[in-house]
Amino acid sequence: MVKAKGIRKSFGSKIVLRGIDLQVSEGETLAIFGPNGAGKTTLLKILATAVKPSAGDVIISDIPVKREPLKARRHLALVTHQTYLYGQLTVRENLDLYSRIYQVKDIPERITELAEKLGFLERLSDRANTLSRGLKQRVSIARALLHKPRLLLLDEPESGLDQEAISRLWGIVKEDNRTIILTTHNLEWGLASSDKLAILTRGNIKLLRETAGISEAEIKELYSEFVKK
Amino acid sequence: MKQILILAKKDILLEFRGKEITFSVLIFAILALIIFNFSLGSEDIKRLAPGILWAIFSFAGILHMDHTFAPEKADDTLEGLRTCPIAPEAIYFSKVLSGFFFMFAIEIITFIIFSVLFNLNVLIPQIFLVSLLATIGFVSAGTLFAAIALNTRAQELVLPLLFLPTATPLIIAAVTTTTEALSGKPLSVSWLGIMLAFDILFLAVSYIVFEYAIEE
Repeated sequence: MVKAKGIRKSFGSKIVLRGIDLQVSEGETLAIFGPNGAGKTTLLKILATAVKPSAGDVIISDIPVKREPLKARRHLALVTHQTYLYGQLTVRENLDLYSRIYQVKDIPERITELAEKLGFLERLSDRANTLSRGLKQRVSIARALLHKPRLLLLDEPESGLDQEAISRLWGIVKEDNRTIILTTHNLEWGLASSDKLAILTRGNIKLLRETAGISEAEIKELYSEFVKK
Repeated sequence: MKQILILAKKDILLEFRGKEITFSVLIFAILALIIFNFSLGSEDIKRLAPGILWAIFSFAGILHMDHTFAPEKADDTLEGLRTCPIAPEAIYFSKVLSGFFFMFAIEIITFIIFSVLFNLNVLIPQIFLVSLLATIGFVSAGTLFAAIALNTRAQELVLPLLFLPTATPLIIAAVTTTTEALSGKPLSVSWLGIMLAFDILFLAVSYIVFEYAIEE
């Protein structure tokens, strides 16, 4: 589903990623852990085609991203701290805009379906800049799910959401055997939600393995060890 | 084309909702006209009208262009658009289209007020043609420079620094042809050609380089 090979990224003289290799299969969830500034968000943005890597290749659903970025984008969605919503537009207008861009069929039905599932149906006519942080995050997730992407990239999706919202959201994003790559600081939640885990520090992946058979205590120990190194 | 219209419609709707810049630019244009109306005698006006109008439109244009990407800044929606299946050129042309819509509307309103205040009819087809060609040039170059300025620290400084020297031939051509139109002379093909060439050049160059201008 997703293959990344030799991903490097520099911003001027600052090297952010130093050669990342990743492979995530269809339906798998990969959780990426790492301290602030490790390069997690940059890696997600590169996988989402929002940022071009300085070197390396990404293949999504057998589509080489460098050659066919627009085709690859039909299969993916990115959710970050930025909601990508226009504050002056209503929630419905925002979702309608993105639906038209993605050429979603039966737009009003799809918007209502997602609004119901994510619990903001009664706020569809409100302007996005009047919503709370948590509600904006839910609308942002609905925006990302409009075109039923096969790959969902989530940058700390649990931030700004309460426990109940996280559980509800997780059930929705995992629908349709979707492949998910997420970053999080929450080791416990990340471990419980994923099939694979990676620890990224200083632009390098220090550990990449299945989550099966690893305890929370072990991952905490490994994390501290790699981050300190 | 469909995506350009979807995005342009969004920009127009956002501007109508926010009323952030078009209204301010219009106020500026009206205020400038009122000041000139008090300071100039009626005998000077026919000679000075082209300069007055295009000085106002140049500054109004910079004010407007400076705001081109403002709606995309608040929640980094430009990055959101970069992850969508939209060609960067579609984003550029949508901004040109919405920018043209507002700039041309401001110019038409300014022409009407000018005609009333100075008792000189500038609402003639030749001036509309000049205005059309000059406005396409303004927004095509201005949108590209606004995108370049977006990732710089001194955005407000970078845009006029890039835009004004580049747009000088366009402004000179607009002033010259407006003078001809107000004198009842036929418009010079060479000056119209300069404006048309400027428009085509900037639309073509922007088509190629806009992708790099909005890169992070």
